[in-house]
Amino acid sequence: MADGVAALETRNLELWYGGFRALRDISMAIPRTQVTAIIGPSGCGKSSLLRCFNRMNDLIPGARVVGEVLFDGRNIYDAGVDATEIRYRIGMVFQKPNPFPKSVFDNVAFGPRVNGMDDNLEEMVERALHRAALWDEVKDRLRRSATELSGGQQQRLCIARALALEPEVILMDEPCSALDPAATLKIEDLMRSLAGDYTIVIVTHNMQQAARVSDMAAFLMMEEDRAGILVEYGPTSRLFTNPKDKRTEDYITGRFG
Amino acid sequence: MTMKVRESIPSPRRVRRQNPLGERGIQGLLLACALVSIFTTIGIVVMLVVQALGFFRSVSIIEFLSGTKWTPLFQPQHFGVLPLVGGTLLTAGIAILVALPVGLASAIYLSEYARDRVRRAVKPLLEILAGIPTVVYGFFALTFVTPLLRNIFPSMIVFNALSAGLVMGVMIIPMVSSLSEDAMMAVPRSLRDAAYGLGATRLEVATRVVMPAAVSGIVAACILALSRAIGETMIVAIAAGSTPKLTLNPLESIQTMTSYIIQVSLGETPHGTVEYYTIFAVGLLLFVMTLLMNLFSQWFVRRYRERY
Repeated sequence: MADGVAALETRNLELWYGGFRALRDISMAIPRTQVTAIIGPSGCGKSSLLRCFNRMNDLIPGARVVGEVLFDGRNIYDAGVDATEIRYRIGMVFQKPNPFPKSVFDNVAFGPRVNGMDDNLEEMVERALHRAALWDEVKDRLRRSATELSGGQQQRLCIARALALEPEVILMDEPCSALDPAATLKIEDLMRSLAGDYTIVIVTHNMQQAARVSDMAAFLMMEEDRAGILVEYGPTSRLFTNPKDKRTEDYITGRFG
Repeated sequence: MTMKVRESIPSPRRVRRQNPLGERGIQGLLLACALVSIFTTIGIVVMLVVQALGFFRSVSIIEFLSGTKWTPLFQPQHFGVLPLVGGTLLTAGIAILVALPVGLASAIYLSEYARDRVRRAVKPLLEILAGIPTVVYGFFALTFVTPLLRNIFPSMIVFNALSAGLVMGVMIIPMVSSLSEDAMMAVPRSLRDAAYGLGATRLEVATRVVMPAAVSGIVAACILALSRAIGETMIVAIAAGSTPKLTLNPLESIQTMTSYIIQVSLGETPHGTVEYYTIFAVGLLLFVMTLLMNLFSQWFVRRYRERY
């Protein structure tokens, strides 16, 4: 992949939790404004890899990263890089919807407020809610608590909350695992509509979902020592129809995992 | 069919037989223990009210609650409780001014900044503060803090509200910090992750997400600490003086409701006199004040508790 097209690139990335190596030698380039899916069996380090992209692993005592994650031409793990700046340019949506116990408005306004962008707040919030396809459902209850929304609405609110900061990349960690099929479909539609403007990286254990929403797919699995490795990475259509690696084929045809 | 299968498997013989009588006996015993504290409370309230009625036969409630002079022990007698209430609120107010910021800051440090090992070491240390006998605190206030403060405020009286209030504040720090920290630790990790994921700093996560989400527990902790300060006796009896005075000046000698009760119960006031009955009236008022605060705290916790 040519330079300048990649939104994020890892080079020989390793992640350690204390003395345990969770990821080994991950090198991959994530293309700009496309959806990249990370798939693989439980415990193979998908979420850990995703959390390397916005330095969320920093918050876990004993976690240590070796290698590079290039974002905007710069290794985000270099000394002097401010993790909070990385996290505001690279948004994240989590497994379980986690709205703050505040109003719908204050949830979306949280990011702009802590990052000192509070002029035109109303407009920013409305735009983010529109983009997350939630505006029509919440426009009359902006001041009501976000915890009153349904699970699917809460997750779209969390996406709106990330979008309010106009991030370049949005990381989604199994965003539909706590949702019913109808709500899942809405989130998937939303992801497709956001691709093109945003780079999206999604971790999913649902292969159909990866096939439906992603342009690129990365298959991770665990080695003997439980470290996650990147087995295969390529365009989703190719990976699912014509996998090069036997292990990928076994996994996507349901022979293990 | 299934019955047969069941019968063919020998079921393990039950050795321990349930004794219905013993079970009921245990239940009764446990209930009795629970009732002890309830009946004690009822007994105290009844005793306070009955004795206080003896006082209110000679002095009107209006005079008691609105009078600004408290001189029941010498002539001319005045029975206005406001100086005692003022002294209590002054020392308790100073105490909470110390305990609130320090206690909250320690809670934030312990729950958001400290590593697990540090927290496990520091938290019990802080709680030791709560285990120091209050009489020790009282002498610490009188013999250490007061001389220190008199270097700064030469006009300060030896027995004064400031030293007692400050030391009482230190005493209730662990109540504020420990209970607030429990409330903050109960805020789910996922909310912190959400805030960090939006570029919030550690301090912003603590003040804008964790504290608001834990507000009911924090307020409950502060009210509990405040009612502890209002009811605290030894420190104020030793260090704050015994001069009922309606003042906001913390450098002066005052008297709190509790230390007045001590003074009279240790003194030679004859039983059955109006002077003697004053302590029950003051005690009842103290009880009502802390009761109202605890009711408020319970209401607040119910009203603002977050369900995540």
